[in-house]
Amino acid sequence: MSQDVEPAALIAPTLTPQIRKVMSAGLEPKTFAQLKNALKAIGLSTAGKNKVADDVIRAALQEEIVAGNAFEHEGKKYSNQAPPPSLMEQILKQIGATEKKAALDLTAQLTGAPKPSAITKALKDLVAAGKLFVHGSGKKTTYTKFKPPELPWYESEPYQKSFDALLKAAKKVVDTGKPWEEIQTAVRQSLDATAENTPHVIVEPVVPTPAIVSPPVVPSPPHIDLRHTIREAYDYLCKFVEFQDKLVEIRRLFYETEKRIPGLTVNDFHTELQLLEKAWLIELHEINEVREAKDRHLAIERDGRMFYYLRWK
Amino acid sequence: MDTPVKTADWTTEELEVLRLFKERAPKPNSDRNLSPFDDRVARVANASKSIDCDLHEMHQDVRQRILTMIENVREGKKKSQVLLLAGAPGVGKTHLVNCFHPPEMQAEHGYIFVGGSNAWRIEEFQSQLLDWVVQAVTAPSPSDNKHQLLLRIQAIGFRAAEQLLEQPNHWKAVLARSGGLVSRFGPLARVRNWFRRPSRELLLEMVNKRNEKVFAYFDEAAFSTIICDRFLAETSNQLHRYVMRVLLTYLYPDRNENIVVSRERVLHWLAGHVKDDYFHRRFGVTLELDKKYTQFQAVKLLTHLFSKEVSEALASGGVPTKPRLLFLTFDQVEGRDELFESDDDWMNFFADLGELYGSLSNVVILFTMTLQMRNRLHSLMERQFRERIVMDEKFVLSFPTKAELLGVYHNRVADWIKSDPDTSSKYQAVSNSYLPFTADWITDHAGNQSIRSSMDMLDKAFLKTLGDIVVGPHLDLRYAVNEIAMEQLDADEWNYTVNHLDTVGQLFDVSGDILCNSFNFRIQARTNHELDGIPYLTFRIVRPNESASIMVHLARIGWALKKPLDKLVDKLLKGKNRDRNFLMVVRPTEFNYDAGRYSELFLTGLCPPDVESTFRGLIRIASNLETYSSDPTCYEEYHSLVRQKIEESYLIEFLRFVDERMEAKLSSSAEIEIVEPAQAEMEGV
Repeated sequence: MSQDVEPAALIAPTLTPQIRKVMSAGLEPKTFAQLKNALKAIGLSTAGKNKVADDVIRAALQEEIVAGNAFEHEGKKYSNQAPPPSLMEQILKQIGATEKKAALDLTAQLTGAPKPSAITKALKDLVAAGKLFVHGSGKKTTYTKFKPPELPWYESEPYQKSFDALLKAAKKVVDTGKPWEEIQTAVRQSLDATAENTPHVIVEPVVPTPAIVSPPVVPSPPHIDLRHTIREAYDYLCKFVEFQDKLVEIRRLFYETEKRIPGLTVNDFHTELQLLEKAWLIELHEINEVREAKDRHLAIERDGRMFYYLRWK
Repeated sequence: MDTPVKTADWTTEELEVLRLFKERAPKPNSDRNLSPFDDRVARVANASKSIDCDLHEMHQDVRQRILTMIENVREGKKKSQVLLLAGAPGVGKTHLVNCFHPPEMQAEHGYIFVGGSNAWRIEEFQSQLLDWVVQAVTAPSPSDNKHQLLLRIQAIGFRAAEQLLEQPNHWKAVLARSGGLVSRFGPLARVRNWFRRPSRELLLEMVNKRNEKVFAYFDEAAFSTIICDRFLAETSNQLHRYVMRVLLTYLYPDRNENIVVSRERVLHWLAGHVKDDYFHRRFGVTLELDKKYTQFQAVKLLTHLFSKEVSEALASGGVPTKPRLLFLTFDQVEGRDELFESDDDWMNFFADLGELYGSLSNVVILFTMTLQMRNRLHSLMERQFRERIVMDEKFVLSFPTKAELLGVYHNRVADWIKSDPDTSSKYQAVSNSYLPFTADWITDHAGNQSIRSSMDMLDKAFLKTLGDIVVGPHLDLRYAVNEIAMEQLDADEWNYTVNHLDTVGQLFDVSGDILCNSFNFRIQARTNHELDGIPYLTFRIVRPNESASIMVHLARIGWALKKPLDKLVDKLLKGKNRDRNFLMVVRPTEFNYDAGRYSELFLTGLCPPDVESTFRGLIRIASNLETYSSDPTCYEEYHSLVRQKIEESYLIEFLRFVDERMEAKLSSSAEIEIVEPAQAEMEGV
């Protein structure tokens, strides 16, 4: 073994200026071979007696990476520019902690024009890794960083439709004005008769429980979804200059929420707002110049006052 | 409104505190009950009244932001700024503005609060603004020896004198000469003056001791010229020089006048109230602040005198003179008191204000507006105050938090009873400091709304709850009557007493025994009737152990007089037994009616609103009878109170009338006389 050959670690720092010079010559990342050729072009000996071994170049390159002056890109390429964030990183960055975003909304913001299949794959990987959660289904699928609210059994498949039908029927029965005990007995008797000829599995979802036939037959409305949607609409409106002080017109909020929940009724909207107000989550501010109010039916009128603005606390 | 806490849930100590609260509520010499929440927030906080009972933490972040902005502008770190404080009605805008009013706060943070009422038109803006500024810089009173303007003019005078005396000989040219003496006595006077003229050391000593008499040694005109040259921003502006000259008369009071009169003359001139030629005689030139332009220039000059530039020029000998900023506030009261009616007026106003704002460095302008108004005017304002309107969500005021609301509650109650040590100590001793409510009840029912709405709600609930506390017949009645009167504050005497006979009926139901106790009769039956819309009560009266009875009718008529009365007489007296049928008619206001041959059977009375309120009050406190009965003294007091109130009303005449007629009926042995209608007509009835 020749004692003239210096250890790679000792030579490496002396190569640093040359590597920096080569890297600054072009923005595109270079493979090791390209880098070596470039070094050769500026006078580095890669053959003969004074040749610099690959190990030495690699060691110098590694030093630069550790120092933060060089970066390793995909495909074992190197440059002095940091690699662009990966698709998954970009997606995660775009979705705020409380935001819901559809895949289509995300696509526009992604750099490098990734293919739809790549985006779908990245989203799937993120969901699988537990970094994102899927809300809704089909065209209404959105992705969030928070878990979707757990819906009660009567609002989720396969019971939702049956329960809605039961609810409608129950309302009609309630309107007859018969005492609860009488209704309860009648329902039980009818169900017992049906159960004799029906497989137990099918009957099970509609077996009357005291919770169904007792006075609060109408379960509490599904606030969680509407509430989140209102908040989503509110956050969206707050991006406009006219609502930069976070005080939003209730009528505008209704329109924005309605876009997200087609068929939303004013009554449901108002009920939810009043629940939010009672829970101290929002403030309802009144309008003094009532004559100037637009879409008055969308404002909340109470105690002779018109509440026209909303602010989320 | 549901009752927050049931009476039975209160401890003895709490009940005692609530009784003391109730005793405190009826306002002396007034027919109103006052709760700690009667004063809405805005009215509590003004320059003349303490705001200690309100919570300083409320809107603290906004207050701090405004103070920081004031400091930055005053110190020249920022240009003049415009603030838009917006919020729903009652959210605390005016209260917040008034928080900047106390003189101590102005002194501490180096600003002068300028603002006043909205009762002026756009044409009057300049004169109004000048009035406000003069009023602000001469606060607390123009006759005060230490108001800001006087101190500032004196500081300018002393500084100018110091600068003069710094140069060995320059000051001599500015010394006052006794021109009159010289012309009269010639060289002798010159010699006398020579010996009497002050030395530089003497003048310096006087200046250092801030002795105002030093100015008398300087010639007024020459000294004024020096001051104008050194301290005015626009030294060539003749109007500014004139105004400054007038202000410097503070240093040169008229020898023939009292010093206060001289100073007031300056202020009167600034206010444009002086039309004589005093300053013309004194300065040889006339100028009146009677035009928009001149008034505006005067405002600019006054503002400039407190600027950082002038303050730095005044700082000498390690005695800094703090700059002051003019904090102009335009507090828009909601509704019809809005400052201007049209947007054009607003535009002109912003243009005028923009001129002042653009030319001065030490001004912060604050507008309070409702949300809708802010949205409407913001674009107009932006045109005038380009990029200088501070936009921040903090400037849209929020509702108080739970802690703030409870804090205000506690402070208000403590402030309300602070003049009564006994009540205060008992209140401090009970564990629930939110009596008669609980903390949860307060936040649930009065929370998450504007502070004014909260106060309004708490005011009503507080008074209503105290109404249910039994203290004693007299106080309970007074309290109840006040409450009843407040409930129908807007009703006139006719509307207020429209159901008076129902009230009388209820009164007989609850206190009939006491009413008839002094008389020897009993009401056997009482029925309600109506004759063409005129209500009347019919009482069948009997005497104990006697079978004979009489019918006494009590009717209440409204505005129309003759026709209803004729109808009542026709229906109830005409053709009836004269010793058995009687009628009393009451009305809220006095009236005369000649019932002709039925006058003996007919009586009139007055049922004004206070009688109606008293009757209703008696009905209300009758529900406390069970409690009163537990204490014989209290029970007797209740009885005597009812009798007393009845004796103060027409009802005593009614009862006496009934008694007399009953007596007459029983004692009379005459045959029953029936008046036939035909006969009555013949007799001209």
